[in-house]
Amino acid sequence: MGSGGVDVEVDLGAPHLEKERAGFVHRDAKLVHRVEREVQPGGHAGRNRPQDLQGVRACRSDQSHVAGGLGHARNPILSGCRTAASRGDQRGAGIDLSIEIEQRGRWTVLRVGGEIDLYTSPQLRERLLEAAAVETSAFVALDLTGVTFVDSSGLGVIVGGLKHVRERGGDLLVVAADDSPLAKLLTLTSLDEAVRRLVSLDELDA
Amino acid sequence: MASSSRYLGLDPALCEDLRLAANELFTAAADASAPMLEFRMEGGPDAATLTVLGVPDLGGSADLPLTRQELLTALFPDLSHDDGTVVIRAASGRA
Repeated sequence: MGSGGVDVEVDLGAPHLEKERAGFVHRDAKLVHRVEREVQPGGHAGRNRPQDLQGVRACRSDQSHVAGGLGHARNPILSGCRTAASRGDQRGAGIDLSIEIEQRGRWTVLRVGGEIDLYTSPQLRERLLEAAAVETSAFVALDLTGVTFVDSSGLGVIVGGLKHVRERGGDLLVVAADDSPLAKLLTLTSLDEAVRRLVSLDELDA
Repeated sequence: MASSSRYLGLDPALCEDLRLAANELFTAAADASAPMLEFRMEGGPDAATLTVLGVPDLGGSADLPLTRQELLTALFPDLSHDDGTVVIRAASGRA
């Protein structure tokens, strides 16, 4: 392997440009792309002038749409950027997470693609609770075969969802390959004993 | 973080583990409203070291039966967390 070092500083409390850097670290290149795309409609080429940060401000100003209930609302960049993803509008569309819902017998299947983390997990939680809110849909299958990354935020959504549907007399299971990030995380946390996992949706009983 | 790890020539599986660790540390800092984080990745011939400054707490969330400290320690047994500084040292493997 090569040797050397890489330093990245993330200021979680400073104004706009620092917040962009925080997004860079958290989301790698994707958030940088998103921020740049937001800025472009303003027609400004540079990124250091105040007017170039309109998109960032717009993202942050959207916090009012998700006031309360989603957690992590204390950090402006996290709550603001999460808003775009949860609303699925133009700023958040195409970034990180996709969710499709279908019915298979008694199971409501949520096909999830992308990455599940602090940024996207509120969107998954919202859709999961919506699916479980229907009286006949307390049986929820999370098809995560299209998920390439999951962290403890995603794990929290799964465990929280499991508790929620079981309280309603239902059940929740996940679909993920043996070598998937989720399977590894479940094993690592010993949650594989609590969360039922199928390797294929074809194993789902009617 | 994944890009940094790849840049340093780390094993892909280790890159993913470090990415998860960095993600968890970022989330922990955000949960604690930490004002600033500093990440430092160092690659050596036999090991990679991730040092993160500004993580006040490695607790968990209400829905999880374990803390982030436990999760990260399961990934990296050599992890240390002292006075807001997390140090993760991992055998680097070969890319």
